[in-house]
Amino acid sequence: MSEHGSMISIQHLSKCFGDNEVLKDVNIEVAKGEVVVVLGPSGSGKSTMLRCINLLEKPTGGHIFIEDKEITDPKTDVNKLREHVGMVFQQFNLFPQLTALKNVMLAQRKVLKRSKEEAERIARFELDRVGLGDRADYFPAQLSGGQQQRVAIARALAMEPHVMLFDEATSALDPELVRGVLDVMHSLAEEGMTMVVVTHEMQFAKDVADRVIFMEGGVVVEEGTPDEVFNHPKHERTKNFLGHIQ
Amino acid sequence: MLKGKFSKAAVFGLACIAVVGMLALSACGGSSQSSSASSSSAASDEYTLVTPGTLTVATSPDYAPMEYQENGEIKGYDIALIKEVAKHLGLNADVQNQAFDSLVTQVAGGKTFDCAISAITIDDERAEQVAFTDAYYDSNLAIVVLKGSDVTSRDALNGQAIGAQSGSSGEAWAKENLKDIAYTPFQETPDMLAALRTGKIKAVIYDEPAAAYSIAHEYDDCDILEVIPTGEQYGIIVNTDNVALAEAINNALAEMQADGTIARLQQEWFGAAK
Amino acid sequence: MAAYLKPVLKHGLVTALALSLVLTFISPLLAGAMSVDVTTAKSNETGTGSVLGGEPTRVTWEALVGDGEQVSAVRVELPEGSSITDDSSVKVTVLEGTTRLSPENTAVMNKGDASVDVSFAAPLQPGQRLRLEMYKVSLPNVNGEVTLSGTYTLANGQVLDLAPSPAIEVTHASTAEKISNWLGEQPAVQAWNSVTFLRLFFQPELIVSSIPIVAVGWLISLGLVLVGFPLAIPIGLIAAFMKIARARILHVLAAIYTGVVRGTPLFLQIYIAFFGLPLLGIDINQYVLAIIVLAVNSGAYLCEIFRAGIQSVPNGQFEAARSLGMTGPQTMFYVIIPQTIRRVIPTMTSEFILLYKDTSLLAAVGVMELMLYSRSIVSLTGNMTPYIVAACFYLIVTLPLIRVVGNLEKRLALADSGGSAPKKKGRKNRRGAFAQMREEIAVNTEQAAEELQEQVRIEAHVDDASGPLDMDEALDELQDGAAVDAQIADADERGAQR
Repeated sequence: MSEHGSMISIQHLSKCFGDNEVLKDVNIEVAKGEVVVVLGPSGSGKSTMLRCINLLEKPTGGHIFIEDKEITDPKTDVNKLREHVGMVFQQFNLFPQLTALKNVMLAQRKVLKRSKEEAERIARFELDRVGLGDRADYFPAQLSGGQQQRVAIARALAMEPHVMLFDEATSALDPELVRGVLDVMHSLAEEGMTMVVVTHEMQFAKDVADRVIFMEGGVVVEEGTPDEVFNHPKHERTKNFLGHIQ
Repeated sequence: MLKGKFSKAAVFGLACIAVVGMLALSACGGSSQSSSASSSSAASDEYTLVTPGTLTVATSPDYAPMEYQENGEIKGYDIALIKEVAKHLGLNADVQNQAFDSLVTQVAGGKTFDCAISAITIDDERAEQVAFTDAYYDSNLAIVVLKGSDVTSRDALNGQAIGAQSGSSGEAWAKENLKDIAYTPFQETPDMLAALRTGKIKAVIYDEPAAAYSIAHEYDDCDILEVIPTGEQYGIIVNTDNVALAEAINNALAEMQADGTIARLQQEWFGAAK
Repeated sequence: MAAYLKPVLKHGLVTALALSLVLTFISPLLAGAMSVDVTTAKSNETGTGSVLGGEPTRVTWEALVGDGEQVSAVRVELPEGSSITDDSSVKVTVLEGTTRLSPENTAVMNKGDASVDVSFAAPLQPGQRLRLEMYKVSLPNVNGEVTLSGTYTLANGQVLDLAPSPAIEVTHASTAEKISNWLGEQPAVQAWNSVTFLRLFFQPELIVSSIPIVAVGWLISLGLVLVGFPLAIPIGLIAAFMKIARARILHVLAAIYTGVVRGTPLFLQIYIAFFGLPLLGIDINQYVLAIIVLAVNSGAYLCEIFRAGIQSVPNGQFEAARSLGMTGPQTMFYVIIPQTIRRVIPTMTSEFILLYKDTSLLAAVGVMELMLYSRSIVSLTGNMTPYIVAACFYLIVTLPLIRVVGNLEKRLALADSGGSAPKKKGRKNRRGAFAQMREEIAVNTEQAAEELQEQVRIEAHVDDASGPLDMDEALDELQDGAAVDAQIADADERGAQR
């Protein structure tokens, strides 16, 4: 079904929480190296869709393929899958008992079984990459929210993921801190990382996205290039949403 | 490390005592005048009571047939005796449950109980803290073992695990007369006998009347190995500042001896006058 | 005394008199000498079984009248170096088998040569037992065995030597005992002791002499809880995992365990373990059994503490760990539990304090611990002071820990409110709870001050901190985190104020 070069293929995805159907027949394709920004009002199901991609939520129906492997197949090793899918959360979710460096090292050591030296080398590299090389020995509580989120990105990157998922990565940040995080995401995109970004940052979508998807009520309403979606929206609901935001 | 802690403990202890002591001294200073005034007049002929009109009695009711509890009621020879004494004195008797090893202290304190009757052996050391009435019952100690025990003589007790009631004459005897024993004190006799049954201790030592009674009733798997003739006697204890009460009780006991009350009570509780 | 109890006695006296007249003439012809079969001295050293020389004690002496002898008087001589004072007294008991007799007698204590003379109006008959209890007499201040000697007089006036008595082992007084005795002679102490309350609860001599004894019990109690509590931790952890496990059977088992243990008094559990298990043929050393009971009991409480602790870790932590590819056990072990420990240390410490105090319940079944050691002195002396000493020994441990709990809770509250989490803190989470606690207390003040400055610098740059850092509070906390000694001293001060 999936074409050559496909990173993520979501087919007929549905998800119910009890009687509440939050995703209805969602179909999304993400190519390798592509940056897809998912927009939509809260409750539109965009975060749930993202969490289904690494099975933090278990889909009720449909299929999801990552690099042509069906992850919704019960036989799939979920932990193995997750190694290749990095995720950044709205609430950072750094491990508070570990320093920034140790946060980045932990999964490398335990999951990838890297040696301490290698894990530390990579961790320092990734921390440098997000601009926090000098904060390696700080605990999360000693870092600002923006810094914490950048550590969280470094932590995900250290696992050398093939795709990165960003779940409203800047929503919990004070406005003046958003910049730093977006810059990191921007440069990641430029390096060719495949990214699925759920966000409210329109400017980021316009500047960075290869494709924009607008979701509402659990379905994909519209998708296209930033220019198509922002400047020539076809659907009324998209226009309404963009009108509210802008 | 330990040393440091100890010295701190000592300092803390002393500080604590100093504070409490001062409070107590000042508190007692106020009341002692009135109490000494009353006790000086009372010393010769009148006794004082914690609650006027009532003889407040402490007992440790775990020593059948002398004192025990049945359906929440405290009974026994001692209890019947003290109630008769109270009757002779024209008082109500209020008998309350207390741990055996606190009886002397409670009565010596003088604020909570007028007297204690609880198969208490007359002993000159106890007599330093409290005053004894005349003896009202003769007793001996008994060594109790499980039937079929490998301990078959008094000498075989040396080096064994032995139990007795905390603060009892049995405890004193065991410590003084047996060698190299692992001694365990128990607050109540049922616990002591339960431990005997488990085999954790090889023998228990307590008063012969109570031992004979236990074996005749609940503890038929136990046996008296030997009666130790100590010739000890039970007395009722009162506060040393209230010797008049001891004298009044002595008079009541003499009257009860004369009018046959004691013989009747002994018949009732032991099946025979002793 | 108590003559009314003995209507039989008059018969006895008449018979004895009659018999004595007859026997006086034939007794020397019969063989068998008066045999001294018991001489013991009551221990006069607080809490130990030793008899100290040079200190007042109670000496018990028993002899059996030999066949064909009639004894009208006995003279018991205490060994050379013994002393009898005005406070001394002697109690005379005569027994026929196990029946107490009350023959008329006079007993005189001779201070000069430390001897006791007892004479009887009617001579004692063969087989009768004479028992003398000599109160407040001192045996010679030596290390070794002493024996009592003496003579006895037959009804015909013949004086015979008593065979040497069984030996009494005497030792020198310990330092604590010497201090205690010295204290007892001080006028100030005597004045203090004249107040009943002070004498019964705060007797200085007894405080001194009971400290070394109660200290032994303290070490045992501490040992029991220091072994029992760490054992309770894995029990509690396993039960906590069972409780949050998906498998229903595990959940039910854990629920039964915690329900039964938490729903019944520890006192009962101790009784059942100590009196029930041996009857089932399970014979365990009582200290081992005590540790097991404490661990099983505390495990149930820790289970609930851990479960609550695990469930208080935000779900995002699980998700973050899982999204990094960590397995369930890895997540638990490396992410959740370290955070749980930090959260549960204050409640765990409280549980430790409770368990430590609960060791006193073991006294009921005869486990020699702090409470029972002090009670043994209380029962010996009829004085409550050793209980006060015991209380102080409990406080030595509990007060500093109570203080620690307070500090930890304050820190936790501060850390959770997004405020400062001292730099040292997180690093230790994977170590033992107590190691961490100790280290936290022992944090060097200077180091802490440096950290504070660093902290403040960071805070100044932190934009999303939920509230400004309160300098005073932070400083307070650092001072709290000073050396252990300071803590204890401080805690003591508080204790004294209460």
